[in-house]
Amino acid sequence: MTMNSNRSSAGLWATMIIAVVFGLVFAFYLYEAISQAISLAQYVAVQNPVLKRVGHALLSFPWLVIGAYVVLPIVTFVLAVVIGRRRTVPIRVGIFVLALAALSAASLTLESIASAATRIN
Amino acid sequence: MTALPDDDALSWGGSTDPTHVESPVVESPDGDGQTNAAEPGTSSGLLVAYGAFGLVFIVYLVGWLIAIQSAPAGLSGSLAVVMDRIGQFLAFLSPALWFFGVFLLAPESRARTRIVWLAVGVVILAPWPFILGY
Repeated sequence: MTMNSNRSSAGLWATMIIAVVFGLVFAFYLYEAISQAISLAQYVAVQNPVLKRVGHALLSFPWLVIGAYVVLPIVTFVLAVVIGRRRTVPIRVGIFVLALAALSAASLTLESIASAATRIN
Repeated sequence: MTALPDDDALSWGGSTDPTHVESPVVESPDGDGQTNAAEPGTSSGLLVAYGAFGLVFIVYLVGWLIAIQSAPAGLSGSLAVVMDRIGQFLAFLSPALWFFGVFLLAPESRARTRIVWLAVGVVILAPWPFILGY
């Protein structure tokens, strides 16, 4: 009984530590996405008056792409937690690494689409 | 025996022929006397599908490698740059991790689940920075 409760509390601690460590990394991705969204909004705000003055087509802020970019770290973290439930610790770590890899690829993709959408031709 | 000698030359005597010798019956290895059933068509179809997905993910791997090699290098040392580099490396590895992750996490019996997750990977892991040139 005691051994079982010790094992379950150790498992709970391992779950908590993994979730917190990977949660910090996912939080950094969220911070990066918000920073990029703000700097892109500032760029569009600075460029549009100049473009208007020279009679060029105005830039539009890619809301859908930036929205997905900001929401993605939260969605992937929640998915990794849900898929990793009732699995062993190494597999749970592997799922978080896989989620981070997919998040990195998707973030770079959304960044490049946002850059292409706000490019001045 | 038939009436015409020509017909005799064109037919086997069978067991009525005095020179007929019965050949030994070859047993199947499992001993049940039946031929082994062919592999179900779905498994070979699945193998082809997995191979096609594998090929797509290899192409993605190369695409990500080219994309991150042409990405501008930032100033070294700051946390953002280090995280950026780690993110690029993970993005490069993502097709391989996804492919093997799907096979590890989805049991063999749930082939449809594997195909769906592999298809999701094909959509979300496409190397768009390489395709768009950014």
